[in-house]
Amino acid sequence: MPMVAAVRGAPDPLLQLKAHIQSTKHRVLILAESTGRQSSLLDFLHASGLTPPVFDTLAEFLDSDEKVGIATAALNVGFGWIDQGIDLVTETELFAAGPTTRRRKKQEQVSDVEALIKDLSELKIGDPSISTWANSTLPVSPSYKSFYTLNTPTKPRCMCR
Amino acid sequence: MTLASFAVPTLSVGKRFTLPRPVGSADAVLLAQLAQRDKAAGRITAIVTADASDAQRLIDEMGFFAPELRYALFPDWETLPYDTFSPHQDLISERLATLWRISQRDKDQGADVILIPATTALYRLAPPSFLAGYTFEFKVKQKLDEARLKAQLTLAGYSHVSQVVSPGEYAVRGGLIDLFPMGSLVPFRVDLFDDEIDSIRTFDPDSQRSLYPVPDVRLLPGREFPMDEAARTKFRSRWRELLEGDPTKSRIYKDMGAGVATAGIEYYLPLFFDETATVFDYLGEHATVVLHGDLEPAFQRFWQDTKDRYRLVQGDPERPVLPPEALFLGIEQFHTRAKDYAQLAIRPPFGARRGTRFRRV
Repeated sequence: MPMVAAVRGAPDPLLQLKAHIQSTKHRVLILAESTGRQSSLLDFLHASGLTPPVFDTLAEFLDSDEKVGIATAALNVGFGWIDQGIDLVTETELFAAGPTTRRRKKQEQVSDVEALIKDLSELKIGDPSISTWANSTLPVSPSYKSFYTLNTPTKPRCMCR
Repeated sequence: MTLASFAVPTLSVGKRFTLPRPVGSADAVLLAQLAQRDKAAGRITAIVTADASDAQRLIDEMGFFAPELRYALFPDWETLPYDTFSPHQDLISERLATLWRISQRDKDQGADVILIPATTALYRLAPPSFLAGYTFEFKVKQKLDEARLKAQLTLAGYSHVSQVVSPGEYAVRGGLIDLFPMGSLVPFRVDLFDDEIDSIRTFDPDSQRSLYPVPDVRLLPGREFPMDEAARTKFRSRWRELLEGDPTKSRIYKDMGAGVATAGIEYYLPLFFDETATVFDYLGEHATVVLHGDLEPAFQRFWQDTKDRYRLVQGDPERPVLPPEALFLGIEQFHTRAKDYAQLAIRPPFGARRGTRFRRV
């Protein structure tokens, strides 16, 4: 199966995924690891012109005729399921990252900024973002907040206030 | 939902069928299919994973493919053999809960799929009769003698505290008894009216405020071994029988006489029982055993480390130690016990052979 990874900085980061959906005979189910991730992934997909319907369970998707769908599942690595004729695409493939340990400690669930934004290609121009390395380059007092607007995904421009 | 189309052939008792590990997370599909078939046939599926992180991963992933199955993890103590501190109470609680759920089988709170990290499967355990004998339940409107309950809780190894925050603790304030049963996710507040249980409610351990009422409470033992008079006497007599040196030189031995379980007591578990059990004794006859990943290196490493540690800690009169064979199953013994079951091995593939049912995305 070809690459489906998002391309950072490209005008349409999801070109490869879209090409794969076009060419494959399989139906494609995109999997987000949590409902929160699912909604930000949906925003990302919408921006690229993909509007997959949301499925609560795998059974619902198997019973439907939709070519593309999105669901929540803690699947680590996706695969093509030949018996069922579906491709399961997880964020591991989408962002071409190594399968990360997604397991969180039960008792100490802290809000993890990195879990909110998986990849820079998800950020759009105008999105507010706080840099974690601002402290090292800018004199930020506790009452101060620094915001960045992203002109390009790799070069943040400071808009300190 | 039943996952159609079968990738796993029918397995028979005493035989081991080997499949190459499929790509990505597709092993979860194979195992979900197997577990569904086992459940229909009244069997429990026990999955022994070479890699401890695979056990948790498979629970998460199989739940997506077969959401109707009930999964239970049998976690490790997360201590090293002969460590001088005890495992976290939450882990003991989860371990006891899992063992109890295996014994419940198809009942409401039973489990269909058990995931066990390979090295954890080597640990010798308390016999199933211990769990059955030291578990008790009570309901609303039942007569309950406060003094007797306190005695029973102490017997089961629960500790008396001023404020209940974690499993294995209880507190008594007038007619209110707060207790956090082992194997439970929430603590309970039992309101006594005279000697009758007026209500049982859960409460938030952080705010200590009551939440919602429940009809009954089940109390698993507070530890993986008994602490009553008879058990402590047995412990001391077996200590004198099995361990060399003057027992009065050891604090662990003396503490046990005074009813105190010293930290690290877990590595003296065989002294509490005439015979220890293994996780296989809990599974019973009707089960399928899955060997996931490369178990051999994991077993070898564990035994090598354990023997090294044994050599290091040997000969301390304060802490005489039991030989590793008394505490853990040998690799041979593990395989002999596994032979009583139908076995499926999922091995890392050799070379490019990957099977044709799944492909890489």
